[in-house]
Amino acid sequence: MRGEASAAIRLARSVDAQIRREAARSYPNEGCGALLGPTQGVVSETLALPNEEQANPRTRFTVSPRDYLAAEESADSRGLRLLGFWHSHPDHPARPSGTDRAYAWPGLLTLVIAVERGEPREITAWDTPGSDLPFRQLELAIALE
Amino acid sequence: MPVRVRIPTPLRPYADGRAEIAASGETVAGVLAALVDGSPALRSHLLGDDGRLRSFVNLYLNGEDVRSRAGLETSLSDGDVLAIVPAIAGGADRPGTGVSPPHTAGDLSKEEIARYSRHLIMPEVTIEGQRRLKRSSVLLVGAGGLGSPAALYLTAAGVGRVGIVDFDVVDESNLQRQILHDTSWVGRPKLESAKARLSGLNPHVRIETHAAALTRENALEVMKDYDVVVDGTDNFETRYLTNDACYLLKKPNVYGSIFRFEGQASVFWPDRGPCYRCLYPEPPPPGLVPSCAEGGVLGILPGVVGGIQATETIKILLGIGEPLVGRLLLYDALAMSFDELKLRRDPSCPLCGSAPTITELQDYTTFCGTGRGEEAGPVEEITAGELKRRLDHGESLELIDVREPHEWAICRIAGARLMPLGTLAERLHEFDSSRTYVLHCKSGARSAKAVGVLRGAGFRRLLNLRGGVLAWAREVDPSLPTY
Repeated sequence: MRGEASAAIRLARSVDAQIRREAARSYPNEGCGALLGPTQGVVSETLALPNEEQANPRTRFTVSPRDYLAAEESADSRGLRLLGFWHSHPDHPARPSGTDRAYAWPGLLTLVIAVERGEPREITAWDTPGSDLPFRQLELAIALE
Repeated sequence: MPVRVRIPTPLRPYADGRAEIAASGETVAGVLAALVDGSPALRSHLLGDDGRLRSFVNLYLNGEDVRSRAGLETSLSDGDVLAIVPAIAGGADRPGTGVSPPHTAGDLSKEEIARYSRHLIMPEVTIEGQRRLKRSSVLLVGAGGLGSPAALYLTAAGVGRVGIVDFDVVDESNLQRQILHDTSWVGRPKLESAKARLSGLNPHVRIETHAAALTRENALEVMKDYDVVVDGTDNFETRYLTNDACYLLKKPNVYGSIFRFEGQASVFWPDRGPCYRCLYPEPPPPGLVPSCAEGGVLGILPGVVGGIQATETIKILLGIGEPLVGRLLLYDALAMSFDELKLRRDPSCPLCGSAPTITELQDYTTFCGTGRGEEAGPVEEITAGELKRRLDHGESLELIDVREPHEWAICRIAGARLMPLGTLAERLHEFDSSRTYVLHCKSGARSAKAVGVLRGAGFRRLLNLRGGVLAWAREVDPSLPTY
């Protein structure tokens, strides 16, 4: 779905900072949020969302359908796109898990941030070219606004 | 009714980029049908082969989950907004799952070569065999006891595509043997749990999920694109259906079955050996052979039998060794012994014999007799609360518990009489047609069969306790231990 030109993801510095802050704040639970931007591959803002996972919030995250709709509405109403979602892996590497893969939607970006003992670490970006195909890692660039 | 359908961002490419589409229908199902009619590319992203809504997709009507209304049958009014909402979730699960470079057909990446090195150094496999596995596909019918170890080993071994058909959700009582699922998935669809676990185990394998019960309508379509079918079913209807569909499609059917401490396995390979019908021309009468849910099963047993099924599957795909064709392997865990029976093709087999009468899929419900009770009208049910009220009013109801004595020893409803299902047919003389009987078991399935047995003998005043003693313990007497 995605052309070669957009295989790198540009993350605004303010978004990078906000994801790090939210991920640290959610620790030891997983934190999550929506990624919005003007066009595919350009993330200009994030909306932090509550992790609705009840049973295992330290190893899982769930975005409620209502929060999904609100994020999409927020993007649509301002001419932006809902590009995907980020979530944190507390004390785990920033590599997508089997559950991440199972829930991945082609066309939606997955950003994973590792949080080590409360400290935000590496952020990685992933997408899948088809619903039954594995994740592929995308280059991530932090951009000044 | 004209309603507005909200299309979520990831599905807009399949709807000409539109965020909203107007569609008409009396119910949610009707609107979905109209929607995929107008935008056919959306169909496979929303609906399974059987027309049911895919897992990972939610529907919200005016901001409310349709599951909390009447599901797909929820009726619509003018101007309603129906939102399609993709399930967004994930999480770390556990550490250290690798990720593959893009999928390349049949060739192995450096990562895969490292992963499969213990295969590659065996002369019976080699890199050629491993490539062959990667080009292969296997369909598992059921993600339960047998499907769990089979799916795990086939995925770990590097079969290119692993498909799973299942429609069930993970129940706590599955975890004793269905090692594909862990505690955190209780209450969620088995397919989602399986996909998460298998994708984490081996990201190089394509995991394909079919959220449906296998039926005569969808079986050929679901199976046709796979090389081998692994039968991990727990009921006769699906077992005969799997057998017949495999024969019609000429695909090897790797069969396994388990009960209590004993297991069986064989390979039914069309034109090379007998089929399941040669072995068992007819199913046993309904209710005679208890299922694992009724009779129990040693949790490790499916590990052995499912492991044998995975082994046979890999041998078939690699074309090595002696497949279990024409042989029925019998395993007894208590004696710890394996036995083998020779199976011959039955020339009079209606499916694979010399003059076949079965040339298309059948009505398996009728064939297995499981629908007999329904033909005589639905089984009349009573809830635990209603039963309590009627007993408290002094109504004369006879409570018959059709479970086994060891279950009876765990818990029972006061005043009930124990008559295990298997003994009913011989104890019909103990029943009085002028009295009303309330039959119950653990959760209501066996007692529904018991109602069928008694109806067959002419009794009419029969009620089935909905949800069995579990419902009684939940709603009426929480002090009762459950199992």
